[in-house]
Amino acid sequence: MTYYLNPDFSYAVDIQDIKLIDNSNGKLITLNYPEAAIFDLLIKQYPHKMMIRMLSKIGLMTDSHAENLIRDTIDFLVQNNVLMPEQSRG
Amino acid sequence: MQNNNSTPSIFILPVLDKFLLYAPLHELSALLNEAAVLQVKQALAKSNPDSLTPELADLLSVLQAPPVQNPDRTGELDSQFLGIIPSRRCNMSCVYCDFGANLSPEEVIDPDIVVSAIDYFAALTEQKKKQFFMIQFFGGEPFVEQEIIDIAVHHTRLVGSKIGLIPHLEALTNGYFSERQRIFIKEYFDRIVISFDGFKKYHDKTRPKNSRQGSFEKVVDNLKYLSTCNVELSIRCCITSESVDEMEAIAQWFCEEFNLDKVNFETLTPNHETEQAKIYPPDPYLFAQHCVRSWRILRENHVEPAYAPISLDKAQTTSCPVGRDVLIVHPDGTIASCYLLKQDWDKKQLDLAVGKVYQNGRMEIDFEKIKQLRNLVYSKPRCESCFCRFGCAGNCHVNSTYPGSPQTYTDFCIHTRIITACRLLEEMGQQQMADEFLDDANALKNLALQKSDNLFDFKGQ
Ligand code: SF4
Ligand code: SF4
Repeated sequence: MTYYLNPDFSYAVDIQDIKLIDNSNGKLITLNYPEAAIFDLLIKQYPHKMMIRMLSKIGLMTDSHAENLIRDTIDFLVQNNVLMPEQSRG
Repeated sequence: MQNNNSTPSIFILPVLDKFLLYAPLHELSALLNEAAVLQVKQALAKSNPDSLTPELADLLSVLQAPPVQNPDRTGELDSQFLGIIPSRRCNMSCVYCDFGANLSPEEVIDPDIVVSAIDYFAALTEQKKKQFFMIQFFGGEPFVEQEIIDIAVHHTRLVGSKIGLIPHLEALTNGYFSERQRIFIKEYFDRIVISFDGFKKYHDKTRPKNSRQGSFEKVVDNLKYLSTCNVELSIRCCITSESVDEMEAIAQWFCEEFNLDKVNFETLTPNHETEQAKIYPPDPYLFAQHCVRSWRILRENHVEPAYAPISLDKAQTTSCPVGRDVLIVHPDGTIASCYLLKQDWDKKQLDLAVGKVYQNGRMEIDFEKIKQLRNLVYSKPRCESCFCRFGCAGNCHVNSTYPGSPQTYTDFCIHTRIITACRLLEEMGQQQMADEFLDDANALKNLALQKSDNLFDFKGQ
C-alpha cells in the first residue's frame, strides 16, 4: 500500500528528528530516529520490500525488526492522520 | 617537523619595478626595492647585521623570530570529512569527465560498507570532541544512486542523534536531478557544489546531457530553486579557451541569477576526450587576468571566490584532500584520500589508498600511509622554491606533481603564481599596482617564470 501526506500537515527536517505540524489545529508530532527515516522512505514511496531492506541497513537491524517497525510507524502515522492511504484519494 | 631551515620559506617576487617579499610562515608581505631586498638577504645571512633603516630592522626582526605558522600535520588521524562515492555512474556525458564515469565499472557501493564507514567516522569525530560530523558525496553523479544516499543520510542522522553530533552533509553534483530530489537536498543537505560551466553555449558544449541534448536549462532551474533554500550553494565552473574572455560576464551573471556562497573557476584539464571534442584549456596568462577581475566582481556581490590552491590566511602542505587525512570510501570499499580511480594514481606510481572497509563491517586504516601522504609536498622538486608551496603545495598530486613529473612550471603553475601574487597585492591594499601588473605582459612573465623565488637565490636584476 502507498501513502500520501495529509495536505493539512507540513513537516520540517530538523537536526536530529522530523517535526510534523497539523496546520488545522497546530498540533506538533516529533519523529525521532529511526522512525524519521521511515517517514522519509514512505513519502518517497519506495516499494515495501525495498523499504525493509533499506531500514535494516539504516538502523542496523534484522529485516523482521525493520518490517515490524515500519508497520508500527505506519499505524501511528495513519492513526494521527499524518498519512492517508493512496486509495482514499478521491 | 619537516619544515626546517633548509626549506625555503622567505620568497621574493618581481612585480613591475618593485619586489614583493612574502614569508607565509611569518605572515609577512612587504614591497621593497632591489637594494632593500639585498640588504635583508645579507642581514639574514649574517648573525650581526649591518645598520638597517628602522623599517628594514623591524622586518628583519619578524623574519628572525620563529615562524607563527606551522603547516605540518602531526598527531593522530584527524579526517576533516568522510567522503562516499556511491558509484561512478553518471546521468550526463561531460566531455572532460575527470571522475572516470566513462571508463569505470558499474559497481555500486554495498550499503553495509557505507554504514560501517559512517560508524567508524562517527566514533573518530566523537573521540576528537568535534561538534560536526561531515559527510561528502562524490561520483560519478552521486544522486544517480538515490537509494544509497538515502541510507547514508539517514544512518548519519541516526548515529548523530544517538551520540549528539550535528550532521553536515555535502555533495558535489552535476545539478541534473529531479524535483523530488531537489526537495530532498533542500531538506537534508547543508552544502551543494554544482558543476556548471556558465552561459548555455559553453555549458552545453562541455556538459551535455547526451549527444542530442544539453543540460543547461535543467541545471539553471535547479540552481534557481536551491538559491531560495537554506543550503550553502557553490558553483564549480570549468573555463576553456573559448569561455576565458567572458569570465567577468559569467561571474556577473552568476551573481545576478543565483544566490551563491562560493564560485570556483578552474581551468579545463585536457585529456583524450577533450582533444576529440576540440575543447582546449585557456591560455594561463589570460585565465589569471580574467580570474583576478572576476573574483573582484564576486566579492563585490558578497560571493566568495573559492580556489583551494590559494590559502593566504593559513599555510598548508596540501591544497586537496590528500595529505589532510581525508577518508574517501570508493565503491569497492577501498578507502583513499583521493576520489580518482585507483588506475589513475597507479599510472603515476602513486598509492593513495589508506585502508579498506569490508562488507562484514571490518575497517582497516593504515596510519603509516596517512603520515606519508601528509608529507608529499616535501618530495616535489618543482615546488621546492615556489612561493606558492604553502598554498598550492603541488596542486593535484596525481595530475600535476606526480613522481617524475616535469620540474618546469606548467600552465597551472603560471596562472596560480600570478593570481596568488595579485591576491597578496590586493590584501596589502595595492589594487592599482595589481591592475598595472596584470596589464604588463612582461611583468607577468617575469614573475610567473622566475625559476626560484627563494630569497637566498636572489642576485638582483
Ligand atoms: S610549482 Fe606549481 S604546483 Fe608547485 S606549488 Fe608552485 S604553483 Fe603549485
Ligand atoms: S590528488 Fe588530485 S584528484 Fe586526488 S583529491 Fe587531490 S586534487 Fe583531487
